[in-house]
Amino acid sequence: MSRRVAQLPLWLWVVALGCAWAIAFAGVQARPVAPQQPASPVKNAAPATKSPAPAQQAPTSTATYVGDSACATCHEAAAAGYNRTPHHRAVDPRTPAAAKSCETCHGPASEHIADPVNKSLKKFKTLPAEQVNATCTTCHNRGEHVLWDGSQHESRGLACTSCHSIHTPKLATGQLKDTTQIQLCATCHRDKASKVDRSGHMPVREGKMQCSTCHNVHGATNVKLLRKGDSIAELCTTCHADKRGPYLWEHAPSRDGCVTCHDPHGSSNERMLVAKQPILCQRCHVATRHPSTVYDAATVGAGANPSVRIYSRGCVECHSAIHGSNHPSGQRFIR
Amino acid sequence: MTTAMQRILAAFATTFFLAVPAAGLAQGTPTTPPAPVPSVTVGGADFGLRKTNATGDAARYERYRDMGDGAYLNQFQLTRENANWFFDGGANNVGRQDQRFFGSATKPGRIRVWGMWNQIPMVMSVTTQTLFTEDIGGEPAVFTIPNGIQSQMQAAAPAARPAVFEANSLTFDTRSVRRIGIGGFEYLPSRDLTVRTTLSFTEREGTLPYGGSFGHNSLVEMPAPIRQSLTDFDSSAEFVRGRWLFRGGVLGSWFQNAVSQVEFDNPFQATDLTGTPSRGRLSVAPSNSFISANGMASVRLARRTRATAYVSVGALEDTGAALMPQTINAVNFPTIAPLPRSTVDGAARTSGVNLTFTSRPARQLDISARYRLYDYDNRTPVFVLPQRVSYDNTPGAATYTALGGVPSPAIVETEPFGVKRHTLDADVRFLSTRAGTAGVGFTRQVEDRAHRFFESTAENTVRLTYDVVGMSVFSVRTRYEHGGRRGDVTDAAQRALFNIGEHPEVRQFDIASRDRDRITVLGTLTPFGSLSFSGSVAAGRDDYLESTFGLRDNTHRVYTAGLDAVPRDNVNIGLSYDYERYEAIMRSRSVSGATSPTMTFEQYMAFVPPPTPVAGSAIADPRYDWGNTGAERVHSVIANLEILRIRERLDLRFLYDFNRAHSLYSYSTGSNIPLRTLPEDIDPAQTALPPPTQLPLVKQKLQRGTVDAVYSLTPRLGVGASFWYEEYRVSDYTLDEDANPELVRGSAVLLGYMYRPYTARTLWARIIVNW
Repeated sequence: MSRRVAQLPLWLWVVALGCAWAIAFAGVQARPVAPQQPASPVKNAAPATKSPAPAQQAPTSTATYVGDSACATCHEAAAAGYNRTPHHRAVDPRTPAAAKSCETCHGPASEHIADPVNKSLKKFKTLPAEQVNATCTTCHNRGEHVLWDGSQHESRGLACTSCHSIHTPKLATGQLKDTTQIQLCATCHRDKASKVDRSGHMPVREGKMQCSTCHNVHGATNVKLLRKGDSIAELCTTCHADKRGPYLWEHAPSRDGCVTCHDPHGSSNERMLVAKQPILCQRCHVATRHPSTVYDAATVGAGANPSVRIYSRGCVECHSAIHGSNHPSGQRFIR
Repeated sequence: MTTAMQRILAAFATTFFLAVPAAGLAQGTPTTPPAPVPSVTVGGADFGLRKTNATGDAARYERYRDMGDGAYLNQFQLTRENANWFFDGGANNVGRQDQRFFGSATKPGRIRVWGMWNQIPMVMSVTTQTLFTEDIGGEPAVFTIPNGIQSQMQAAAPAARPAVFEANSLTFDTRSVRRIGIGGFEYLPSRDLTVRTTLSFTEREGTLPYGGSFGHNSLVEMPAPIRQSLTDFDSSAEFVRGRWLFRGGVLGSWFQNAVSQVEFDNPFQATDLTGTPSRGRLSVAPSNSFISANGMASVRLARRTRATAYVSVGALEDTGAALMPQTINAVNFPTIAPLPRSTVDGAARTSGVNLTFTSRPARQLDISARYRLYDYDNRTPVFVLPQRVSYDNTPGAATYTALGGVPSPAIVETEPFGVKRHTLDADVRFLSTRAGTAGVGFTRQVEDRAHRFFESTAENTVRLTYDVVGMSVFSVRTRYEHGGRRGDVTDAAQRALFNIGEHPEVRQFDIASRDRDRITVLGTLTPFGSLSFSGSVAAGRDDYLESTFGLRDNTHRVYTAGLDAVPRDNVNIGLSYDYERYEAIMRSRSVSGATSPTMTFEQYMAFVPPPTPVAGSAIADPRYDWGNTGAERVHSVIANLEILRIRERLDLRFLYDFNRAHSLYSYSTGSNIPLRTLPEDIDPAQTALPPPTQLPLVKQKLQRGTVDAVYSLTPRLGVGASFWYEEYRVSDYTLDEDANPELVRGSAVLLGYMYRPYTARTLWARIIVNW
């Protein structure tokens, strides 16, 4: 079949970007966002302190820095937690500890020291997500985090503190609010997390992989927040390079996207297939004879008329080169 | 839009962003000199003894880990920090198949060097059997059966072959292991510049069940060797100045397969015949390389605006290996036609563009736009097959037979699949401090393909979101999306399917026209700071509305509920349940014999079924249709309880994990309306097919429970015990023991890889040391 070139109007996205630039540069004035009611945490962690929540007020310009030893006088547990984290590594000039320590993020505390009840500092448990994120991305705006703005999680109102804890992390790596990555991600993505318990699964529950092995939750150029490559197949073949090809005889779903046939999070079927063979294959192959035969209970291994096309590993027992073949007669992937 | 225009556009966009002058922002906050840091060394280890008792499929209990008996050393970590450097190292499962070692040295703000060695075993079975022996180390891999055993198998009646197999087979482990060595550094020559480089080497070796065949009902399963290596190099530099960020990188990936061909004896044929070979040869994964380069520019502007442009190009190639010969059957050598070329010449060029723009131009307005382009340009030359040798048996003409039994004009040639994908996303969100955030978004995706039924498809998706996340007590996130993908069905495309023997009305579901609806609602309720509830509902449906054959309908429902409680500082409770329901409906047509009289495409499209079904015209008679509904139901429960610092010394942890999945594939027959979509509307009286015997239910259940107790003798020394219980139960008509009562059946020889239940218990006696 010949190849036709699809049309996507150039003017459409140029106009879209141009409008966006115009808005940005038109000098639309934005009023400061007023502090909202306290935000509910996605994952409940042990409270760092039992002091009552003070009323929210933005620090005034007369507040001055007092040093973290003053903070620790009252916020002993929070200080202890912070001291155990990379944020406290003062030798690193990029850390809060090398700057104003607690006050780097929470703001100058002199007025809060004088009036703890009525002059509160930035309390990240109650700040709107965009303010939390703005604080964190003052420093965390490179590397893994450069594409956070507009990413799937950011656009849904998640804050950095939805997943990370500065003072009381349960997992040191990444300062996560849960003991493992998958438990944290399961808070919202429960169905994906439960799939690792299926018989066909990646080595996640064995501790050899985790969600961030494939996904960059902070933003990515690839689809589905995949951290490598520019397509699903490119991500999968960073490890499964044996499926990369290029083959002489190619199998279309293997080239166009591994998830056509496989569920990367887990499946009850062999090789993490989305459905059992031959039914999976019969969803695309409708011809005469065995591709379209009904393989019912009579044809299973324990049936009256067992067929190799349904028991054991089904179609790929013969069509074993299913991802592609370099045999001259490999058209049907049997050689 | 031509390729040249696309690339000019990408270059323009990148240049545009680079050319706009940026005002620098003040860097960070004022710093004070750090206080002197004394050297500190901390670390810990968890070691002791472990004993596992597993009944049933012990291999599946291990799968990706080593649970063997004896001493263990786990969670070893050592950290040393002084005024200038930070050292970190550790190990897990030392001395085991799944061991892992890691270490890093960091001079904060300047350089970090790190390395890791990781082993990932994969144990599939320890009870697999085979008649084959392998000549290890060669290329191709050669699997042989002693001539005497081949003759016995050939001469034996089918009922007697299992005994020959059992008497002569060898039991072996089907397992493999990945050994990954990876290291890299992150160097900051200045505060603005970061250079990152990673080099990894992966070696994978072992065996994997792999099938070969010598005919339509022949199956020979063999332990295909895995002797692969993968070298990856990734280096990037990132420069940040003020509002601007620039990044450029190169990636290289080289895959080497030491075994790209496998030769294997035919257990049922000792000598070559024209139509029945004594040996076969097949191809496995080819060696290849993929090299790419990428660049990105990003700028932060006022009103929380960020614009980012990303471009990548890549080249995928095989290593130029020669095409293997058509056959290994020496009897047929004289009749083999020459091949049009001697090498695969596999090659592809990839390119990607990603332009994003996000902004909050007003307090209550959030906008984002993204354009993504992905182009997989397959440059492997088309290979016209001169002659087909299917099973190393009699060479035949490389032709298609059309669906109607008439000669086909189609040429048997390769199809170097390619795709070019344009995606445009735009989202607008309206924020309100009181009423939540409402958003509307639109996505248009246009795909242009080579050698697929639909050469071009376009999908438009509208989505609505509504989030309430600013409240202390509850939060709700909702999302609904509706999309429609359409492709142009041409008469030529349908005729092309007919000519290669496929039904013109089948649509491959990965590209078929489709309406998609999805909704998710995720909520949390936190009545107290120490108690929170969460729940979600997700539902979706893919309606392949133009697919007469193939996947027709795909739905899912997911319900989750969870609870997290911290009733006291030292007590954590977690409980979650999820129920998943998936259903997929497909439709096909069963034709077991030749079409008689033969039927052209035009006759097929115009066919009117006779009053009584005729098997010879089954290809065009809806009374031979059948449907299958695949339904899966999953229940999952996770419960955990932590009670820490009991009497200031004892920590207790309990975990229970339950997952049960039931799958049922139900057949249905009969239809008198050619475009009937859902099989449940059938009239059984109209079917020409015998009633199917329904497949049995597929059941899998996994239960895991763990108990951990650690008693602190001193702040640095603790003793503990852990008990793991794991139970797996399975009933699977394809791979359980009932499905495979014998490894040799007719002309099929299997290895014996199966789904077997197991019950396993592992007891750990632990010593935990911290320093």
